[in-house]
Amino acid sequence: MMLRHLHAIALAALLATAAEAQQRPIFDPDDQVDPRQHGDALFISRLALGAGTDVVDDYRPFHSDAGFLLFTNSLYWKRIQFDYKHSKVLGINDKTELQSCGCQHPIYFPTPPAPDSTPAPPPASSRETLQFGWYYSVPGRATEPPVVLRLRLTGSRQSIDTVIRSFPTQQVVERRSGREHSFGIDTDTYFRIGRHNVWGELFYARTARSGTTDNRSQNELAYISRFPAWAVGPLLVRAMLTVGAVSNRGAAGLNVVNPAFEAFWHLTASRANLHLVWSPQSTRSGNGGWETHQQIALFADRALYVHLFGRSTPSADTAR
Amino acid sequence: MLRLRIILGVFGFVACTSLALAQASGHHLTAEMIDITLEPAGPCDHVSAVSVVMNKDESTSFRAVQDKSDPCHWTATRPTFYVESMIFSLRLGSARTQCKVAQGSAATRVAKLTFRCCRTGARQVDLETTPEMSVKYIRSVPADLDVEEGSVPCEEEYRYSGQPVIIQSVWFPREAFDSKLERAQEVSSLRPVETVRIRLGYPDSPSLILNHASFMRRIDPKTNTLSAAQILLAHQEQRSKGISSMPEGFSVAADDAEWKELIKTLRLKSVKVLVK
Repeated sequence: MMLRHLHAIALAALLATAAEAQQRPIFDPDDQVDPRQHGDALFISRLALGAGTDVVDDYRPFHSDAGFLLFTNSLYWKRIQFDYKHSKVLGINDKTELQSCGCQHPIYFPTPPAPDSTPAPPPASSRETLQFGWYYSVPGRATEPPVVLRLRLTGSRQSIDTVIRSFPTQQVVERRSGREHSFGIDTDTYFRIGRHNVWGELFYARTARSGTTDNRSQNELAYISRFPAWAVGPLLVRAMLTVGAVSNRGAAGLNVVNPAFEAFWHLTASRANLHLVWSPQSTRSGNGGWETHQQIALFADRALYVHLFGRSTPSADTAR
Repeated sequence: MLRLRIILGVFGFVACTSLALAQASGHHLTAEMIDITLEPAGPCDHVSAVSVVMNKDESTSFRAVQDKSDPCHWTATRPTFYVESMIFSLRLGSARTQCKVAQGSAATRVAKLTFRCCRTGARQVDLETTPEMSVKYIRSVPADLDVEEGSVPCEEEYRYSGQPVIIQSVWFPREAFDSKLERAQEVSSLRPVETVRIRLGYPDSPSLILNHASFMRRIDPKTNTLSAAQILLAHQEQRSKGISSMPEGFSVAADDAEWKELIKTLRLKSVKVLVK
C-alpha cells in the first residue's frame, strides 16, 4: 500500500514537471553536501568564471565560443538544500535581432530552424535559477553507513528580447519580450554490482519558450553514469557518460550521447578550484542527423562566503 | 486509590523481575569467562598478545591471558554477560579477526570463541591532533564466511578518552602504502577486511577513511604528519571516488563546509599519524 502511494507520488511529480529544467550548465560545479557533515545549517555564496569553446546550452549549440559567469547562493538546512543561481553566457548577443520582409505573413531572417532540426539556443541574457533539493538515505552495504542521495527540483527563467527590423529600411518595426522557462527533476541513483558501487543521476526536464518568433519546447530524459575519479598528481580526474532523449527535433528515441571528462584542481592557498572539462556532445535531429560538438570549458570557482550555523569550537573532551 | 497504585506497582515490579530472571535462566545463556582458541596451531604460536573487543566497543577492549601449556589458547574473565547478545573480535598485534558471536555453555558459564589465525597483517596506528581535539573512530568489518565460519558484520566504535589515540591491529590494503612509507611486510590479503573511519572534533563530523591510499599517501614521511590542508584533500579525493556514502563528485560545497569546520572552527593544524 505504502509502495503504491510512493509510486503514485513519484509519477505525479514526474507528470507535474510538464511545465518546464534543464541540463546543468557545464560551468555549474557539484554542490552536494552530506547533511551529516554540517551542524544545523550551512550557507555558501560562490562565484564561478570561465570560458569555453563550441558552447552548448541545454543540447542546443551556440556554434560559438563564449565566456560564462555563475553566482550561486546555497543554504543547506538539515536534509534540505535551497539554491538561487544567477548565470550569464558572455560574448554572445543577449537579444535576438531579426529582419522581417514586411509581408502579410511575415518571414523572419535568419529563418528559425525547422521543427525537425535542433533548435537554436536562447540569446545569452542572464538566467535565474531556483533549486530545491532533498537528501534521503538508502541502506549501504552491511556495516557501511547509509548512502545519502539527493532529489532536486530545478526551475529557471530567462528573458528573451527580440528586435525585428524591416528588411528594406532597417527600421525597428517590432520589439518582443519573450521568455524561456525550464523545470526539471533529478535524482541521484545508486546500486551495487558485486563489490562495486554504481553512481548516477536520472533527470527529466522540460524547457519551453514563449513570446518569441521561434517558440519551441523540448522534454529531456537522460541518465548520467558517474565513474570514480582517480588522482593524477594534484589533479582529480573523472569521467561521466550521459545518454538520453530530447523531444521535438524530429528524431525519436535515443538522440543524446555525451561522454565528459573533467580534471579538477583545488588550489589550497587561494581555496579556488580549477576545472577543465572536455564534453563531446553528440545529438541527433531528423534534419541534421548526428552532430557532435566538442565543448571544452576552463573555469574557476571560489566560495565568497561560508557560514556554518550551530557549530562552536568544542572542548577536547567533548566526546569523552 | 493510593493503596491500589502501590499494589499495582509492586505487582508489576515482581512480574517484570520474574520474567527477566526466567529469561536469563531459561533462554539466555550467561557467562563470566571467555575461552578463545586460535586455529590452526602453527601460525598462532607467533601471537604474543590478544586483546578482546566485546560488544563492538573499542574503548573498553581488554587483554586475554595465554594458557601456559597451549599457546593457541587464551582466556579472559568478565562480569556476567549474555552470550548471544555479544559480538567479539580480537586484536592480535599484527593481525585482527572478523567479528563473531560466542558459543555459550549453561553448565560452565563459559563463552567459547574459535578464530582462524592470522588472516592478514595489520599495523598499530597512533593518532595525535594539533591542537588536541576529540577523535572518534569506527571500524566497519564485513562478514567473510569463506575465511571465518560464523563471522557476522559489525561496526566497532571508539569513544575518545585522550591522546594519542591508539588504534590496534589496523588492516591495510596493499595499495594504501606507497614508496614514501615503509611498505607493510605482512599486508597480504587483497580482500577487504575492514574500513577504519576517523572523525575529528565533533562526533558527527565527516568521517575520513584512514586505511586508504588517499589518506596514507599524504603523510609526510619526515614528520609523520598530515597538515589540515592535506586532511581536506584526502576527504576530497575520497568523495570523488564515491567511497564516502555519497555519489561520487567534485563537490566544492562539501570542500568549503569542511574547510570552515576543520580549519576555521576547530583550528586544526595537523594530525600526527604513526604507523607501527
